[in-house]
Parts: sequence; C-alpha cells; structure tokens
Amino acid sequence: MKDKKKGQMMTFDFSTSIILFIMFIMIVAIITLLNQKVEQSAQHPFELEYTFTNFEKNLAHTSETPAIDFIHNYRVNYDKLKDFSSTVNNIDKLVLENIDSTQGIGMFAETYDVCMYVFDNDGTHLDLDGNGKIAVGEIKNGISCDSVIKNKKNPCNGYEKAISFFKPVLLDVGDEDENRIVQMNLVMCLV
Amino acid sequence: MYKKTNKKGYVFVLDVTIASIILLIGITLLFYAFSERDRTYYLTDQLSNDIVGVLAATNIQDLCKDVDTSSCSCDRYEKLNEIICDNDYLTEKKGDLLSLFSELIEKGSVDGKLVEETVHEIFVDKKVIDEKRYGFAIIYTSGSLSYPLEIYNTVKYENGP
Repeated sequence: MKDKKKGQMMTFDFSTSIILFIMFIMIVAIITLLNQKVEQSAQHPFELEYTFTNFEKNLAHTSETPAIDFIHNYRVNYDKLKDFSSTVNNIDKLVLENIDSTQGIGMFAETYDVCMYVFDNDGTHLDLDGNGKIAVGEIKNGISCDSVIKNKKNPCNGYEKAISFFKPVLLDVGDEDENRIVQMNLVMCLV
Repeated sequence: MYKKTNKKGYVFVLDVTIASIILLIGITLLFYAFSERDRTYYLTDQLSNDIVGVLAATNIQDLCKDVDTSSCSCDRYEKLNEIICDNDYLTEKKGDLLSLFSELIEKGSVDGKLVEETVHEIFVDKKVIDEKRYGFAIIYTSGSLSYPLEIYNTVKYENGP
C-alpha cells in the first residue's frame, strides 16, 4: 500500500514536470513567433531609398570651395572625395535634407545620424582623405563615425534602428591602373 | 532502513538536476529571444539598377590604358584584360562596359563564359557585392533579338531552369 502511494507520488511528480515543461516550451515558442512578426513589420520610410540621389544632388548644389561634388552618375572623383572628407564632418543634412533649393526628399536631419564609408577591393576601408580617415559623419554627442568604426564598433549602437545602403561606384583616381569599382556605403541610425 | 532512504535521495537529486537543466535551457532560450541585438536593415531594392548603372557609367578606358596599342593593359582586371587586350574581338575599343558585354554576347564574339567571369571578377572577386547575401542577374534585351540574353546570373542552372 505504501509502495503504491510512493509510485503514485512519483508518477504525479513526473507528469506535472512534463506538463510544466511543455507549457514552458509553448510559451517560449509563442513569444518567439510574436517577436518575429514584429521584426517582419519593421518598416522604413520609402524616402530613404532616394538618399543616395539626394546626397548627390545636394553635393552638386553646394557652393563650397573647393567643390565637394565628388559623386556624379556612379563616378567618384577621388581628389574631390579627399577634399570633402577633410572639410566636412556632419553629413546628415547633405544626405537627408535639401540644400540650396534642390528638391529634397522631405526628411529632417534630426531624425537620423548618417555615416559614409567606402570598401575597397581588398575588403578594407578606403582612406577617404589621404590621411587615414575611413568614415565621414557624426553620431550622438558629436562623436565621429571615423573613430567609432576604427574601434570596430557599430556606429548605430544604442540607436533605435540602423539602415544601411550600398552602391557600386567607379572610383576615379585619374589613373587607369588604379581606377576601380568599389562599394560606397551610407549607414543611417534612427535617433 | 538506512539504505532505502539513501536510494530515495538519489531519485530526488536526479529529479532536481533534470528539472534545473530544463529550466536553464528555457531561461537561455528566453534570454536569446528577448536580448537586444544590433539590427541593421540592408536596403537593396536599387541594387540591380545600380549594377547596370555603374557598368553603363564606366568606360573601357577608365579601367584599361593604351587600348589601341600593343601595350594595352587592364592591370586590375585580368579577365577584362583578356577581352580588351589579349584578343582582336573588338575593332572599336571605346564605350562603356555594359555596351561592350552586350555587343560581345549578341555577336557571339567571345564565349559567354568569359563575359560572365569578367562580371564576376569586377563585382564578386573585388568584394563589391557579397554574392552569398545578394544574388544578381544581368539580362540583355535587344530589338534585334526575340529573346533576352543572360550576361550574368548568380544562380546557375545545370540542366536548364
């Protein structure tokens, strides 16, 4: 009689454990699935898809000296890129807003912090200003994208969302032996 | 009597150990499901346009020098060098890369494989496009052709599509 009771207790303990475990797994599975749904619905404003074009237009319309219109029709002029990278720090307005009455994409620089960098053919970052600068732009608290990327950190750490664009462009160095098609990147961190 | 109690202890210890392992697995799963990760969204809607765009904006003479002489060379691009400098397919070595590839394919001047390898060299070997993440295809259509010609496709069809 005593043994029977003990056996019942063990069976009860075992079945309760199994039921609890199944419930636990189900809760985890439901939560994971719900979480995925949220991820799938993550949207971005469609205007962002025109940031490269907007950036190019704004660069062409700025009246800076020396001229900083380093990109035109998939062609990056390396000399102008060097001038641009050594004189400009924050590119939020150039990428998102409209400068000097160009059309613009109706976005505000306060919404995103933008970083720009270029990957060379060996997978390393291209030296943008000839002095070792590998990224242009500023993130929170005026920290340069360059210092963050050099420290191998994600510039969008601590931001709500990161959106990245890349575009193949011809890097025109002015020498057929050195000209090459490279990957230009714009990363936008949602404030 | 003593032995019997000891056995009961083992069963309970085993029960607690298994329960703890299950609990730990569950907590780990929950931790990974809810932990904050850096999520970056890559927008590549324009990528196919950009690939064709950069080929159309790049002239042969941007990447190769002395194209009309015997010292012709495309130092950075071995396969392009093969098309432009090592052979006499082309009478006119000017114009953009997209027109060059389309012309070679349409006229059948070179094996399509060489054009494919050249596109692969420019974009994939040179780390411009990570083909493992973003596949792409370049299809050429012309008024003189009743069917589209495939210049490049990440997806390979062994025995037809």
